Amino acid sequence: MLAMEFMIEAQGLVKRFGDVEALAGLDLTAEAGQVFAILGPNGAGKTTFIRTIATLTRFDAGTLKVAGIDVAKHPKQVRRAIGLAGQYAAVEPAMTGRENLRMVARLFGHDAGTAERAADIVLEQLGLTEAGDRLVRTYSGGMQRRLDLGASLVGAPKLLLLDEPTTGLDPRSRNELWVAIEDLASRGTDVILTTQYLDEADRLADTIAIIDHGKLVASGTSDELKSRLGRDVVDVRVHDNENLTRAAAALGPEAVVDRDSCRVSLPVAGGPDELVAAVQALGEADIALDDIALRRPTLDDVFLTLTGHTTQAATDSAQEQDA
Amino acid sequence: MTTVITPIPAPAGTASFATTTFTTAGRTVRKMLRTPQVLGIAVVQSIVFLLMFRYVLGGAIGVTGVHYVDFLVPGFVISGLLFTAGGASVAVAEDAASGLYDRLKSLPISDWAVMAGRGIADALLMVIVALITTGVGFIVGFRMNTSAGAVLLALGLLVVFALTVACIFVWLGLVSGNAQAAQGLSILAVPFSFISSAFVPIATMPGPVQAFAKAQPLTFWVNSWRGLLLGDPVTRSFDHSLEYYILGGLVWAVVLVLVFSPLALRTYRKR
Repeated sequence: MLAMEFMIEAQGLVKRFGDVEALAGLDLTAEAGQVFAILGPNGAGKTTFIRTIATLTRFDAGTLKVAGIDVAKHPKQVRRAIGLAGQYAAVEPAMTGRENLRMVARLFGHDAGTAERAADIVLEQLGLTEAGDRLVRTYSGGMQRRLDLGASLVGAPKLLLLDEPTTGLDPRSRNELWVAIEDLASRGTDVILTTQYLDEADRLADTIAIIDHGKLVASGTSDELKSRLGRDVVDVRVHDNENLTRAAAALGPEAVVDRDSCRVSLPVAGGPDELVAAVQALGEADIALDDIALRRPTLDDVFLTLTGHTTQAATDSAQEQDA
Repeated sequence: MTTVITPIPAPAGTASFATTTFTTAGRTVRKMLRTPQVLGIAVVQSIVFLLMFRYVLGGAIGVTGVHYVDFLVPGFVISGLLFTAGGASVAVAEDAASGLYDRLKSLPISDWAVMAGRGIADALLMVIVALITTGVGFIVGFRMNTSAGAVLLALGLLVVFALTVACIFVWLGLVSGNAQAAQGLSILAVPFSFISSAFVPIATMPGPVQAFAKAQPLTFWVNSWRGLLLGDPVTRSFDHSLEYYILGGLVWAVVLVLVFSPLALRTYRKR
């Protein structure tokens, strides 16, 4: 591993698509030697950001260094340092797994012999050795994604970029891919991944950056982010929207409303006493409750508190545009 | 997955232009060979239309100097390049949508080499279809009247024309954005092939149409092939010498490549 203190240093990064600012002055630094997750809802700017890192999208303002290299000045050098696996499996269905890997390895600059070895190593690493000589069109969706991940590895990149690596996968394939990513990270590959799944960020990442509307909202370890919420959360579920509004009013300004699931959550410091207080406040306001509980905060709560909406709530105005 | 595995060494250098072109073209060719329906459809379509022109329309079309089948086959083969190329632009649009180009653009390779690889592979497919169609032409009565040197020159020109057409249709595939749109755009092949000397003598067309037909590249290319394969009987009826059509055809090829390959490269980089 070459000495690099930061895998990413972004300052005031702006990218516009017409009137929409996909990146609206993003400031973000990620230290080397870890798995770094960029978490945000659809349209937050995640894909645009990873595409600027991968030199695929040119930004309009700001500065961006990847592995210490200025992206605007030396995109070719950045390309030598990164491996990209996108949202779609960019592998050729009419070639075998091995042929796919060999092709990408050759393009990374390996000679024929090393390309062959790199393909073997990656197949082994991702548990695809047996399927290696089958045409990719016979692979399951999960296997195709794993092969795609493998294709980004054959050039021994310093930094692996994964854009929503498990979107659209079934739970089992998702888990397999997680294991593969953890395995890579444990061997010392730096990883940046984008995700809209909190559990994915929680499980894989050392550091999580939450972005929304093209800006950094918060960053830190999963524990740090959770601790920003206080110790516990009082979780209230009601039946309808009217009760939801009234419940939120009864619980005070700290309460966070999630309309999709008809829930109000209230970060608290005092534990059970505050649960009792909340029950009393709701009782006095005469609100019919479906459920009320005291629980540990999750990244969901952090996200909701920081952005005012859940990760699933797509913001129509800022749909990520790749075209 | 936790067994001890030797790490992959960092690449010693970067892939050369030739390696990149060869590797990416290799992928396209493999894909074509392993999805034989693509090549198959192109060939069948070509044969069906050839038979229609030969046996249905041919009797009503009068040409001077040679049999209609001799007149037809060179025109049919050369204009067929455009129809086969339509399939190439659909394939390019599919590649663009699949995320393949994002992967290629994130690699330390030359974008020019990627485009060259694509164009060469597509040109190869076009040449194969053209040669098969010519073979079918022989079966339905086409006969050459020429020398070995002229045939070689004709084959060389075929490759040049195919590369030129590939540049244009790769660009069309990139700008179209998706396979359906690419399919739609490939209908451009129809006016260009019909308003040329490919199927009927230009002299029978009305004035403005005739002017277009005389100036456009396909007429130059078709007449070069016709002249080279059929010799005197057909060149006597040309407005100009055979050299005029060959040189003009090459000039057109150079101009088109100079215009469309940078366009294709720019579109590839931007999307």
